[in-house]
Amino acid sequence: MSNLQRNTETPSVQPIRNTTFGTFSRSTRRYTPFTKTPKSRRLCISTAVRDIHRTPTPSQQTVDFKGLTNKTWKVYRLTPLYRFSAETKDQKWYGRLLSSHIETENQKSFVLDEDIPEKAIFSWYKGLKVGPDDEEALQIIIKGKSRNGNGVDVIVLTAFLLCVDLEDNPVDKELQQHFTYYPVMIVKGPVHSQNILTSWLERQFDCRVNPSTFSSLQLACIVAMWSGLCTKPIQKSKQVELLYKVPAECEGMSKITYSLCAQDCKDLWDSIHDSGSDEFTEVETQTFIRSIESHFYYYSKFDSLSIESHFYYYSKIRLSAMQLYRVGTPVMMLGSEGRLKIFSSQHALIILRHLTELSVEKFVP
Amino acid sequence: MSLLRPLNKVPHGQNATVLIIGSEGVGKHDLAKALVDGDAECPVQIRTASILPLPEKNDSERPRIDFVVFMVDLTRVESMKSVLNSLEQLDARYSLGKSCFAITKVNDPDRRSVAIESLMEVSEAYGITAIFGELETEEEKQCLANRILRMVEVASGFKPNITPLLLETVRVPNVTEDL
Repeated sequence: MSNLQRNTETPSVQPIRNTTFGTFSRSTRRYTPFTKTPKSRRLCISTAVRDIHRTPTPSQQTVDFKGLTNKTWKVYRLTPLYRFSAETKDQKWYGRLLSSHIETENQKSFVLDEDIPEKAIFSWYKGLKVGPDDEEALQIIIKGKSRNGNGVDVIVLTAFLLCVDLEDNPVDKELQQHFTYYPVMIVKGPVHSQNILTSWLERQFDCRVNPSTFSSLQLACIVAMWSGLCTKPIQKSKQVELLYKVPAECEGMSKITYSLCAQDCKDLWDSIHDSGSDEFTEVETQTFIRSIESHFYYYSKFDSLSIESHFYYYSKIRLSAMQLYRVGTPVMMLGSEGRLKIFSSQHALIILRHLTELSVEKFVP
Repeated sequence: MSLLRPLNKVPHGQNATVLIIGSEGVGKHDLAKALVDGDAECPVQIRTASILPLPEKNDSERPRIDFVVFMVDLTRVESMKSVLNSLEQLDARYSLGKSCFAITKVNDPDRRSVAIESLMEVSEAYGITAIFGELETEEEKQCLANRILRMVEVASGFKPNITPLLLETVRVPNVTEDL
């Protein structure tokens, strides 16, 4: 059986981007026009928190990301913004532009069930700028009237444009002074207001805003990395959850929710992954997720900690034939259609960093 | 051990026999119909199986297998796993141009559960061509079937003076390491 170990190198080795484009063009020429090649070294991600501690400043260590946790965000990915200026007076100017755009949109359409947006405020959100290539995170708040008609001012929509620990900026060096790259935008608010915001961003900065989607492979990687991340005693209420969608041929059942104790997952991951190193290979991720699924399936001889085998032993259901569409860990929850919820503020940086990385991979200049 | 051997029986002469291996629900019968309807020089007979090794008791009635197609569905990890297990039961001479991977459900990268790169590594390690395609519309089925039929014709000996090994020597390898 062929050895599926992937050769991983530390992220400091350049040029990672060239590898991506190299394999991308070779693959499309050779095999099929419709595959997008995953990066061959995409799993060189540092899971350790020590990476974040390497770039501290005294003020940042006390930031807790209260605004980010315990809310359900929709994740978008952006292309670089053209002529985005970072000065304070331009912030006010952008706020006025967006407010006037909101007014014209309000006049065009009439949405009954949602709060009516009116005014936009741009501000900087401190604490998310970790790496040298990062941009300061931008916070956009849209305020308006609530739909009950009380006339009370409510926050209709909150959005953050983020760039956390970007390893190397994919925009060409000559163009970097004109383009600002925020790979990720997370938004919370009604759909109509979200559309207003994205259409304004696209018009103002000549960029493209697309909802992020995550494949089953990426979700499996996320659950492998972060199911054991909480080093404190894990509360009983927070479990590791995997949701699978059942194929249409099986009638009577539409999805399967598989919940596990987080401590067991952490033990399993520690036994698979060499905890001394910062990186992990795809083989380790696949071993983790397959053993979880086979515990569900049957108790096999060689992977005695197999979670999928355990499940099969009791239920005779093969989870590997299903599609994983949402994962929940004690620190966060992520769905394949782009819905994110962060529970723990101390791990928010790591999560956003990973999202930045996933978003950068999909970017082709 | 009953490995599937390419040369232990007398060839049929009039037909080409193709064996399609894949787990349940992957589309073996769709592909089989498309292969039979495709434009091949010779009539094609199809057998399907979900895993190798094939059961021994029918072995004497089975004709010689000229070509093996392994079907992998990219949205199901299980199809990849069962194909990998079956590959171990295949005689090595089948990888000299007498087998291929037929990989389906390539259109939607979001629903993909199998990493294409690990698939490519396996195909490189075994020396088996990988053909990507879809089985949703009639045209796509025919397209995939015709590509497989080109290889089947050579493997069954219906193209004079061309052997499968000759085609293998001109196959361009998939280079995944940095140059």
